[in-house]
Amino acid sequence: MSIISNYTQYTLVICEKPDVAERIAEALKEKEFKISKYGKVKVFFVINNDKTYVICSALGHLYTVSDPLKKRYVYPVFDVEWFPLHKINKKRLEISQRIDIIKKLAKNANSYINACDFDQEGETIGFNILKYACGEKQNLALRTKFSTLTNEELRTAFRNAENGLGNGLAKAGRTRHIIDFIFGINLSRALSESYYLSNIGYKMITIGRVQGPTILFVVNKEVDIRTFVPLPFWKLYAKLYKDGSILIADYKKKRITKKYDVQYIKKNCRKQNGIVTKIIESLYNQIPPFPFNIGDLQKDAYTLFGYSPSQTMRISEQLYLYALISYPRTSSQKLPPSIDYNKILNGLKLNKLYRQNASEILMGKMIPNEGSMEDSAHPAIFPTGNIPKRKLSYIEFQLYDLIVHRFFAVFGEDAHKKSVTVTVDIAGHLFNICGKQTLKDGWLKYYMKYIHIDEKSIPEFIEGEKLVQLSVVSEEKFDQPPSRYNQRSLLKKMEEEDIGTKSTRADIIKMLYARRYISNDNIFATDIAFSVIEVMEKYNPKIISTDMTRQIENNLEKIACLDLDESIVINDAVDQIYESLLTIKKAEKVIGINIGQAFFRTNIEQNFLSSCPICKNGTLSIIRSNKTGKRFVGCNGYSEGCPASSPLPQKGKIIVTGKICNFCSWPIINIIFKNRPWNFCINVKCESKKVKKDEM
Amino acid sequence: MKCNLCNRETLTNTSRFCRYHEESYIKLKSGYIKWQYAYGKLDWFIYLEKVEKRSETGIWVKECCVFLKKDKENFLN
Repeated sequence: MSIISNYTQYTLVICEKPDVAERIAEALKEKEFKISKYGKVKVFFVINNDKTYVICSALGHLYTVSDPLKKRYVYPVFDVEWFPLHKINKKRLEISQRIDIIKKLAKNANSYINACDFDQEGETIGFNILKYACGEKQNLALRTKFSTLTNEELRTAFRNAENGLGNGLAKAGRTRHIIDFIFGINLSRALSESYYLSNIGYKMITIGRVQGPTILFVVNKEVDIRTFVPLPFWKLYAKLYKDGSILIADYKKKRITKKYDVQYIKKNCRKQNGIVTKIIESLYNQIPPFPFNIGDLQKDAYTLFGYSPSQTMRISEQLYLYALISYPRTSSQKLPPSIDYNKILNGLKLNKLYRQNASEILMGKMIPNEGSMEDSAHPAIFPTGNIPKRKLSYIEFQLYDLIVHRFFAVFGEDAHKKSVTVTVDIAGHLFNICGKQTLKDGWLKYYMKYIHIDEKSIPEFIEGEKLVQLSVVSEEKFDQPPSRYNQRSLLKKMEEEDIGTKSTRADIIKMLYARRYISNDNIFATDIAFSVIEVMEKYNPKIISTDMTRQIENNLEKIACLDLDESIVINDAVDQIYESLLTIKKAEKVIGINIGQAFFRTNIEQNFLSSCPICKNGTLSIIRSNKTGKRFVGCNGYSEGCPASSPLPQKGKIIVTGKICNFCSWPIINIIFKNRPWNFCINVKCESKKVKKDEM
Repeated sequence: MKCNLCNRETLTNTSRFCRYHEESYIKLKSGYIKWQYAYGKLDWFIYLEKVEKRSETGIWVKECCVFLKKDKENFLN
């Protein structure tokens, strides 16, 4: 603490992340700032308006809720306390040093500023540091509120910092952590303990307040798909001839459910020409999209670039730290004039990629098309207008470019479109020819890159015009099963059902993959998911009901507005869970056996490769060695003497292709490592490899 | 009682299937009426054969089809 001894009166600023601390130091400095490094922890010293600021940062949460008894198998647990994170998670040793430094810095500070992100999580992080590391300074500290990390906004935020701004948010955030911990720890311990009692071994089986309903969505969809019976129907088209071109007209009924009707219509239409009986033209406007909130950005990034929601969150946070976009964890679809549209567009004008669009919008009315969703803490996501100081990576640029184009689009005018429906009568049966045309681009020209425009031009018709019929064709079709969720649609479902928060939804989905409740990009529910849901339906149906979790979310909102006391919500949660834990306790062994069998089936299903080409009786699957932890391929006929085994690359994601090598009949697998897929036969002695070597 | 097609418990002591296979069976029966309407006359076992072959058909429905087709073999034997 060499530099710090030079300062006696200073304001200690607590930030959420190291990069934010540096940006704040950059914004507040009058000439330059000093940096002190304590191990990996950087502390910034800045003088602004004759005030000295010492700026330090957390690394996300430094404190977490835990069970003071720390006995892994004991439940129920209702007495919880806040602990430094490194005492709970031994891998996070760097937290210890950070807390020590903040404690030392707090001793000489005469005032405090909480500059963490202005939302429930940020408020909780700041509150806990001020309470535990700074010695109960949470009520004295001032609070800054900013949505971008631009110099101007940060300076304004520090000038206007006030006391007590986020008290409700901190209470709600801390309550959320406590409730989630109580639900998670008790139910997960109950299930894990049940599994352990069934003598199969120990496995961490987690279920939580938001995880439960989310697994249920996937399981319900899986049931719909697995119990799907396709129904037949027919589609009819007429091929018509006009001015040298062939036009396709759809029968007015989209689906015909009786084969006889199809045959009857086809028979009637045979050798009959068509007459244009009606032409309907309609003009309509397509309004611009709403500004991005995090949910919409995650959904579009998944559709357009294939980024998972958690990946989008990570990239957008990086862009926020570069001061290129506003705070991304927002549910708002509003862009208030206070963000200064002029300044942003003039900033974007300096980038030659956006010059033309920005100039055009600056000359317009500049009224954004806003959605109804609001967020008291932050506006919708918008570009700050700053020019990137470093070269963005490809994925960062893709997301940034999408956000900029969306920002342009919301200021665009309505697009004008025309649709035309021409009705053709063939022997009393009506067929339609449809066309669509864009008359005026409007906002579409700013968003052309990221939107599919459905256009179909058709020739001019007049009523009473005769058209030559070439044929009437029928097509037998079958209903398709419901589409599986992907990460985008699951996130959307969570949003619609109002479970989880904008910040946590992506992580919940990631967790479901990690715990093997779900698999694949087109999401499948595994047997483990079925088993856990069946247990919960029997012993604690409330935990998987969206009603309960939605009720808790509503209560947390009320706590944030200081309309409800947090102890009422926590006690209510304890009451809800206590009863169901008693019933689970009574049936631990049966539950354990059921879940154990589900794990066994899922293991077989996910790791199965093919039947064994050596012994012909066994099956080849991916096995992880208990001794070394390494993965390899082996035959389950090993104990009967089958020698089939093969090493596997230890890094990368393995995808079972279901294909068999033409040379040796061993399975072919696909490995994705650093985004590069690689198909290969797993047999090290395969002839195909010898052929390649010889060619070389 | 265990389901005839998987390891799950049957819905009641008299039913042959678990909740999922029972649901598949119910959907199969209601689907049969719609298939009959669509194609005219259609034998139950031919219907089962056709549904089983379709790629859109759910896996539990296919398992039901295989099981129910055995009924015919049982009758014939």
